[in-house]
Amino acid sequence: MGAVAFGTFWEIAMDDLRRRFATLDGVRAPDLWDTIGARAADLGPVATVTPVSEPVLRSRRSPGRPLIVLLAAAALLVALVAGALVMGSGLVKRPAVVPPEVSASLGPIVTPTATPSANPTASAAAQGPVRLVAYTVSEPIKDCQEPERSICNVDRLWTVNPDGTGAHRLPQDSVRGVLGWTSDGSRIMYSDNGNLAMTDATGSTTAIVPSRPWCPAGAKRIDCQITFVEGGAVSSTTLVPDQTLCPAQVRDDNCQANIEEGVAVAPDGSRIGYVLSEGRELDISTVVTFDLSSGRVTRLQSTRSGGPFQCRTSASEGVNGRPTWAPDGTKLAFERQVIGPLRNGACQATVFVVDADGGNLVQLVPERMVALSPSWSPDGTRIAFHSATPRPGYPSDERALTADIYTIRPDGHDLQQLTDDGTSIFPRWTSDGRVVYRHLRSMSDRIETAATWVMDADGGNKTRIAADDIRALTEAGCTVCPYGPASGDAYWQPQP
Amino acid sequence: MQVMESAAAVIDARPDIEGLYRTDGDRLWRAIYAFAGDPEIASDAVAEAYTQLLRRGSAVRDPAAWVWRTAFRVSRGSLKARGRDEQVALHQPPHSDAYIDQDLLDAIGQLPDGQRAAVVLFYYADLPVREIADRLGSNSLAVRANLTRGRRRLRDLLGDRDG
Repeated sequence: MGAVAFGTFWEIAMDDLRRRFATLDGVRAPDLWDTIGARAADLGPVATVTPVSEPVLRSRRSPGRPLIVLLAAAALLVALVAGALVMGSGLVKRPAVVPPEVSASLGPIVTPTATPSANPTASAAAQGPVRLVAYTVSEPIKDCQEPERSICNVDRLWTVNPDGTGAHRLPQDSVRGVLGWTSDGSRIMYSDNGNLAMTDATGSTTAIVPSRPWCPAGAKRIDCQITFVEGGAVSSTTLVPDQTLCPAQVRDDNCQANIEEGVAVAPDGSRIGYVLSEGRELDISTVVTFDLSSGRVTRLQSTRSGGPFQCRTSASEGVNGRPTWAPDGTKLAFERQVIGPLRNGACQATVFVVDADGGNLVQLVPERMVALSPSWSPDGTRIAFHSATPRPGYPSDERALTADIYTIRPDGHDLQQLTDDGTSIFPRWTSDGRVVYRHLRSMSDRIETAATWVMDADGGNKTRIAADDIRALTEAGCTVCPYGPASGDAYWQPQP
Repeated sequence: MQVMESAAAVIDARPDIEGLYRTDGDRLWRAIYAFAGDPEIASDAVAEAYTQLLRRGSAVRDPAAWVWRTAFRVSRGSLKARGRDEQVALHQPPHSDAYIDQDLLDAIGQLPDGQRAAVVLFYYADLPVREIADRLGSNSLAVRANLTRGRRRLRDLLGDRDG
């Protein structure tokens, strides 16, 4: 294919660059340890204060922090008009099961309680299973002396009971977003500095998808394996470096698993779907599935993504993202962005459906329709998405955007428009087949100001719900919904 | 609940941090040198980053990533203070006992700040894009964009000599 020829051209040039950079190793670095020791002695230790009592309301996240689904996607909307790509991060639609060999190594799983407790593990064991809601909160570090705010915020995993009681902070401290629950509800999946990690709902036991060695042979990563004790309990954390999720025989630096842009767990828990960046340029965007028991990676769709600010010329190119499984596990839907100029210099985006083995690729929506953020209905009969389209004749800014919620059958027929206000985005299905979405007063508003609404699958009975009221969100049937105190979406624990 | 980092915790962390410095400090210094083009800035940034790491001790969860991010931030601040953010004129380092590709260093010095950092971390430090984003306090898309542009610019600048 053309991609191969292109890659070969670059590989020649890039190998040469690597060789030339390697000459830097000839530069002798001074030994600074005595200087460091002397400076440290002059300054003394630093006080770090970590708030734990209650979640802090939506403090700003770090610049590189992923999963912030709505914020990133808001940037995408602006980027559509501006003619640049800002790619949104993805969501987990359905969670997965920890592979048998991992579960065996973790010991018994304790399900937490409905009441807050200083010792959640013990009280959880005493009170039996309940559903929980998992989310992350970006918390400031008190008295932080760093000039960069990103260093002064730390993201924390929280759980809360579905009635809003018992908010509990888990001990993990390098979290960059919840990715969802495993399908049996036993684990919360989250991004740990870009690595896929799992913890039980108490946070006391954290594990990972194992099946591959931590570091590929010859890798020079200095911190690819992390094992430590945390939470004051006997616990170990092991992580999946993103390269672990890459196909075999791929060089360490030629593949990135973009788990924070969407990890979708197959309904039976056997596989996860996500998107890789591959190649020397990391400019090949590939939708893959990862078999949790065998470690086999299956490529479903590979496209030349190009630079992030370039519109590609056709729908067969572009950046893939946000995979979501059909409830029967036979297909995935995903979005593809920057696939050709639309209007006002903006790029196109669309949604595809593909078989779980990579066959039968179907472009779900009409050619000129922008489609983003697909979400498969619980009964598998429809896919919801939002369409953000420049208004003809408007200048190139956010006022030119109109965004509404649509649903369509997985075969690409029976397109239905559910909202017509022009400012509705990010549909999610509730457990009873309704649609939760975000509604902005204006497309120029910040996504954090969006209200949360729920409507029937045909667009009827639109009702606003309080996004900071977990009980109300639970009663609305939320499985994944925006939650006020959270940095992003909250995830309801599946019923066993 | 407040968790105070005690002096004892810092002392406990010291051997690990020295171990990290012994294994990774030179590489970080060279990366900062390639980025900033000045051995003095590199030494100050690395020393400052490790000093801050020592002060924080076990409060830093991922010391390797943290110290790189901090060192790049410090060196970036030094460059800005010198008013040389856009273009870096690289000097020969004080201690050089092997061939150094001065053409490459000069070319790196002509890249904008973000491209320079991304290219150095990708080609010299051998870090994947996501980790580069972590260490620069950036995001993957921005790093990829900087990498793509930086590579093209480097190819243009070095093109004649590459033949």
